[in-house]
Amino acid sequence: MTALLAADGASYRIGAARLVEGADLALAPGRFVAVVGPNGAGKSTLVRLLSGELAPTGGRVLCEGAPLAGIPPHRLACLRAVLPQASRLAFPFTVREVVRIGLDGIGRGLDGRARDLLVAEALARADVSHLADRSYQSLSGGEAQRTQFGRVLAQLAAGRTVADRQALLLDEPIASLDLRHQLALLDAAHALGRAGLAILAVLHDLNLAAVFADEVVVMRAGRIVAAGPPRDVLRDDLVRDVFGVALRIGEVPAGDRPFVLPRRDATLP
Amino acid sequence: MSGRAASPSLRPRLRSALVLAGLGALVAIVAVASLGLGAVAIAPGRVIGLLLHGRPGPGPEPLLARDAAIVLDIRMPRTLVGLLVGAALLQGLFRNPLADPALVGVSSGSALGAAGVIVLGHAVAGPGPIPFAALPAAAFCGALAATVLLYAIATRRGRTSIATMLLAGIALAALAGAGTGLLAFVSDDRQLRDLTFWTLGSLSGATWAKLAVVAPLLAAILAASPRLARALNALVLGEAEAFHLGVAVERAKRLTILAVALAVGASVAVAGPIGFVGLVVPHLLRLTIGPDHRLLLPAAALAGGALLVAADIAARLVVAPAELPLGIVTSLVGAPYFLWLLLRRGAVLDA
Repeated sequence: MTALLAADGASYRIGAARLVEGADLALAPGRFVAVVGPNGAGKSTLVRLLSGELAPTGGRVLCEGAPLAGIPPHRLACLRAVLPQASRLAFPFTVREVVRIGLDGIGRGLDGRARDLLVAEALARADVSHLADRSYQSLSGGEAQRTQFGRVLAQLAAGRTVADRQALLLDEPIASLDLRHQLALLDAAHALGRAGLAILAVLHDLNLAAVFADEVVVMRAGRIVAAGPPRDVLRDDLVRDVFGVALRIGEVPAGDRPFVLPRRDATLP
Repeated sequence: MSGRAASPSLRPRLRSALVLAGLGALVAIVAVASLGLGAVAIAPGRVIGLLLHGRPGPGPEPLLARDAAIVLDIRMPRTLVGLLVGAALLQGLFRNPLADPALVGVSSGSALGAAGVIVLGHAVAGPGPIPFAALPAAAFCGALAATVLLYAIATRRGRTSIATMLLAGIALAALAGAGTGLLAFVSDDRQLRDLTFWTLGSLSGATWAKLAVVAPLLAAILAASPRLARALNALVLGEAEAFHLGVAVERAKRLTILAVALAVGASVAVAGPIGFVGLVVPHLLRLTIGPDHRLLLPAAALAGGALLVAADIAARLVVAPAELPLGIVTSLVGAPYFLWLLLRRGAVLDA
């Protein structure tokens, strides 16, 4: 089976700066890939290459085996959704309106009632139903991020009516969220993966990557330096070399310091 | 912020229909008032009668023929031009509530183009009347150049910097103003008077001939604007996000720039640069009906038309039988409103 989205030796340079260099990566349906790495490693650039937002200056990015650049934007929107890092809006759209924008362009075959249903469902799954009529501008950073996640869920739901295979790209999706909503968002992404979507998430927390990902991709200075199942990739020497910290995998804090580690499906109703 | 007038439980489509119907009624009332009021007042019933039955034949009532001439020949074109001109929009493209054509230099660029025709037209085309199409063409080119320049300066990597845009707009307006000033300096007395009154903005020069040139242009843009609404909605989230949602971003931006330049160019050509309508109207509407461009664009076109015609009525009545230039009226109302906006919503500039 061909990968849904694939980077094939993809590079991206601006002048002499090599933001991404020779990246090979395949996103397959049902798999959750976590991309980790220090600041400036090229993680976000890789996401932008895979989303089609940037065209690679070297190598190729493929969707279902065909070059991404040849696929028109409205078709691409049915095949993949992207959750960006949270941003502010200049106009006072309500939360419900922002979520509805997610399915404006897609699912034109849907009637009004079906659209309302999709929007309500996305609002509920992103846990923003109670904010639906609030102005987006009045939200906290975390609430705004969850609203954007709701928009992405609406886009995917609308896209599912025309495409059977989809990918979800998440660029540091949990940076502004509290613990509960971090886990809830990743649980939701994980469930989408189990339902057959190809998931890629840029994460900073190695524990979260280890818990949720089927495959961890480690980047440094624009290159992918390791990739594989969490237990093969996350090793003492790699953490030391890539992140520059003297930490050991699975080490319990000295003394009686408590520690809290994440796991799946830990959020209480 | 919950300053919405309509309740969210109301079905969106029904609410849209109600808003547009209400604004349509407002336009009709203002239009009849505009046709009836002025140096010679004509009763609304008589105006409606004239509109329904057309020009009367020679009959027992000589006054009716006079009123018909006033309504149909003088006031009708200026009312229609006012309604059309009120509809030029810019804000969606720059994703900012402060982007008004007059404020960010687009109108100034357009005015420079038109001033060039007024002052230099005879030197280029020789004696005789300058073809009217030359003025809108020049105004359009000026508006297009200013819009493209402004967008190129203020947008870096898909993000439009509001501070840069406002400052660049001021610089562009100053530059275009200097050009217009230079033209004023080399013009003769008659040209100078034309130029001065024209830059103040007025609907008094409206004739059926001018209307015939710009009406198809503006009508085409108004007809096309709903098609841009979905793209503009997505662009509010950011250019990358709009692309993720399936919008062909560069194409949508080019279309919007072209539409803005055409609308501003055509408006400036018939009415001169009229300030603050483009700022006040969309902003007020956004506060009351929400920022969804699918409703906002047609609603702003209707409300802008109504406001401009209302301002024109005021311009005619305040110092009747003379009349104030329209630009003075709109700026007198619009500038304090703009200041109030700045004081009330300081956060807008930080966005």
